Amino acid sequence: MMRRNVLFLLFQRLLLLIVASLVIFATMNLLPGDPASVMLGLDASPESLAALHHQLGLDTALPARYAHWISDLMRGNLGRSYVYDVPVSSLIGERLQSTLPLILLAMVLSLGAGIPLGMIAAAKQGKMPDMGLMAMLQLLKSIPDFWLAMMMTFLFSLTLHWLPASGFPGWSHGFFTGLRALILPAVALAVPQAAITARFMRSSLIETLSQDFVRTARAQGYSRSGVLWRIALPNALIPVLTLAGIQLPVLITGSIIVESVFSLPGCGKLLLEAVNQRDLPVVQNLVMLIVTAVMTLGFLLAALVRFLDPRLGEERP
Amino acid sequence: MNMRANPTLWTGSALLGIVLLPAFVTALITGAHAPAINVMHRYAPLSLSHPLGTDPFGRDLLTFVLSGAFNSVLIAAMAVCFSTVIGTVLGLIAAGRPPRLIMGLTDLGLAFPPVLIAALLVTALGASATGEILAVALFGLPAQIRITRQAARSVLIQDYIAASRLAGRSPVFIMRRHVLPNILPLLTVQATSSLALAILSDAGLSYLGLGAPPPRPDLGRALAAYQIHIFDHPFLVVVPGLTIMLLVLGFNMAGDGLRDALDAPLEERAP
Amino acid sequence: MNPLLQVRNLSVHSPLQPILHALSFTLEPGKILAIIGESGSGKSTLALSLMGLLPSGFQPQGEVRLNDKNLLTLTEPQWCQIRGKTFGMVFQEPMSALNPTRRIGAQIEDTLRLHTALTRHEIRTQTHTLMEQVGLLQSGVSEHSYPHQLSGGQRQRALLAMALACRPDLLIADEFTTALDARTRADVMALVHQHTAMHRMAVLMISHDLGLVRHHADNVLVLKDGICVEQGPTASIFDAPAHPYTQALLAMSLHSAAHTPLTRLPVYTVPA
Repeated sequence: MMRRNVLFLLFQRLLLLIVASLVIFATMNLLPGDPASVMLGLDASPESLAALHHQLGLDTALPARYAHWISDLMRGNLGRSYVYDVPVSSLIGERLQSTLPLILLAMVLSLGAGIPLGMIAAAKQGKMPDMGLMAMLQLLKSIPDFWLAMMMTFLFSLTLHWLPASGFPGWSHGFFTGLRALILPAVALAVPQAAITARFMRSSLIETLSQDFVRTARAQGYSRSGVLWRIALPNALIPVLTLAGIQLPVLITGSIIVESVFSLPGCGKLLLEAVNQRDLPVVQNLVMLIVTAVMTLGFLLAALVRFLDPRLGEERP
Repeated sequence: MNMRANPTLWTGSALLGIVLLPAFVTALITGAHAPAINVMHRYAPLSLSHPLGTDPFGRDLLTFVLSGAFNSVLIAAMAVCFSTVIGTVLGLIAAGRPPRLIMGLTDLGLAFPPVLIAALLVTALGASATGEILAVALFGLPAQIRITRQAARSVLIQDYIAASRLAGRSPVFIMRRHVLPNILPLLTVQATSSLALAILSDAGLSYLGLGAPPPRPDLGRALAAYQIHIFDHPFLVVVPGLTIMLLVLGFNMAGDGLRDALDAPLEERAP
Repeated sequence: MNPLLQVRNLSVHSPLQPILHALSFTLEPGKILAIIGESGSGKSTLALSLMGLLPSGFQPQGEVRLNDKNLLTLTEPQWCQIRGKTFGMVFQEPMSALNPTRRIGAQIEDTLRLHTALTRHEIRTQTHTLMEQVGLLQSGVSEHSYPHQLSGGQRQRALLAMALACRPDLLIADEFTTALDARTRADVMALVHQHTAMHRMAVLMISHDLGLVRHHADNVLVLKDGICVEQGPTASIFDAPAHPYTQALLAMSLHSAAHTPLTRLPVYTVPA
């Protein structure tokens, strides 16, 4: 039963990935507007246009172009940057060094702060600490992450000189030097998400604690704290995992913006540069790569949730 | 409806009023265009004629920020309108069908956050307000479909729907007459909360230069331009950011308050 | 015979209103006492106050003696030792009373793990025996099954196995047969009788189902608005009800379909 479930999920994700690739391909190739003329500007000569058409493969038929792109992708060939004239994969690989740790750190911070805060609020439900915390979370949830990033730079870098204001020295200067550069961006990214996680955790835990099976466990002899930690918490965390899956693309989006604030040489910066320079192969492949990563992680999380809550996918309409 | 004893709704509405009323007035007077550039008045301090001073181009900061707020809300409102109308129709159509297609659509939508859609559109077509609205709206669409579908299903299982069906009413009639009025409170709450998200997305996109192009003033774009002045003129960064935050907080609180007032339970959700 | 449970002048107040008024009764080992009455008469509150699981804000007063120990003065850790070990409880909602994310075996094992010093292996073996005793294994349910894979009757058996695991002196059963069909109900009641006969377990049975009460209970207590209007041996209550309320209750059950509950009881939640 379980296995069939996960297989269905896998099949669904593969299908979605194909749809996603079609969407990306269509936007980049079917929309009115010739990418080559956009790249070269309005006063480009017909010869250079034709040359670029050929170089981008724009003079072949659409289905052939799509098939070519997909087969290249399958072989790990992400094309060549038009601007830098290097393989896109090497560009991305370089940039992942800061982007991946940034997103990971933000995720850890968001869950690490959000879950305990939500638990505290749930434990004090309806009392002053809960109300104060909820008001604070409402506020934090509403802060634009890039603005928070700027304000934190102002306070912690420019005024207090605790952490670097921008840039990323890379990991070659030691782990902590690299980490120091990522702390502010990661916190800025994590704060609104942590607020959302905390509010979600609170309602999930309150809901779980009101369930009949919690009373059953108490009747079995579980203590108050025992029932909280061993019975209610694991169940309340399952929806939070699903939420984490939703937050992941949000964090990736946020990382693009925050990288821009802190001038981090990450994938987000690469994407923006590519958009500004109309570097078609980089945009198309990077977007496809991000979508693939989100879908893969989403699949793993969904499979984990189904493993933890075996009801899902069986009974639900 | 219990509107009176609802501090969340009132606070949210008040926050929105503080920003939106002057913003609308400004838009009426200036058409929400950027104030004139005046090189003689760069970085003017706070004064009666410039209550918040002027920016690096000598423009009145208050007028600029209020026009920007108006434009942000306008773009967010158009995006939410788009996703609400299309999402509700699709959600109602999906209400009678198995969930797999909707699940797939939701997952697909999740993988395309506004920045990615905007990046694709801007690369292919160049920056435009339409592209920005589309990017924000498309991201909100799957959630709208899912929520509408869920709400519609809870109405469709009621006995009077079965009676109405037996009486030979068409599905369209049932949807319009019975389902839509019943899920309207939920849709209102959802739209209000979506506005908060849309404003955040809009600010992010224009900060990155993927939003509506100049000359219309925009808060996100202003932040990108003023960022370098954070140390010498922090006010330039604080004011636009605070304005965005007030708008988002206002719509968030109004949404929460409406949810309590209209008794339309809606899960906590992520942007 | 020495009574197992002695309740004297038990009153329970909720923050808004009194729920139970000066209730007194005794229960002897091996006997079944049925509490009957309409919804809202305080039956479930009585069960929860005996378990020390009243919602926060509910105040019990009076005396509940179990083997000469006053339960109302127990501290929370002392309660935890009694719940599940000396007292077993089965609730009315078999669908939601089991944890959907844990396997049946693990949930039954919990009772043993909390109250005995048995090794893991011994707990496994005992759980297996329990599941066989309540007829779960025979109906194709294994330790590895999840609650959603079970029928209503199977879930109720699993709950019964959890409640009976430590051979409690008292089983509190709150409407636990309501959701079952007649056949399953008879099977489950037979199981309960086995334990009353073999281990001299006493049962406090809360039920709307007067047919079931008449058939299984030794004594009956009639509750109306938190007040005991009448109590006595089952036969005398059913044959010669003294109080007009009891007469009305019995008449109603004769006229209506006797096996359907009047209304569903409110579900109380336990603060953790």
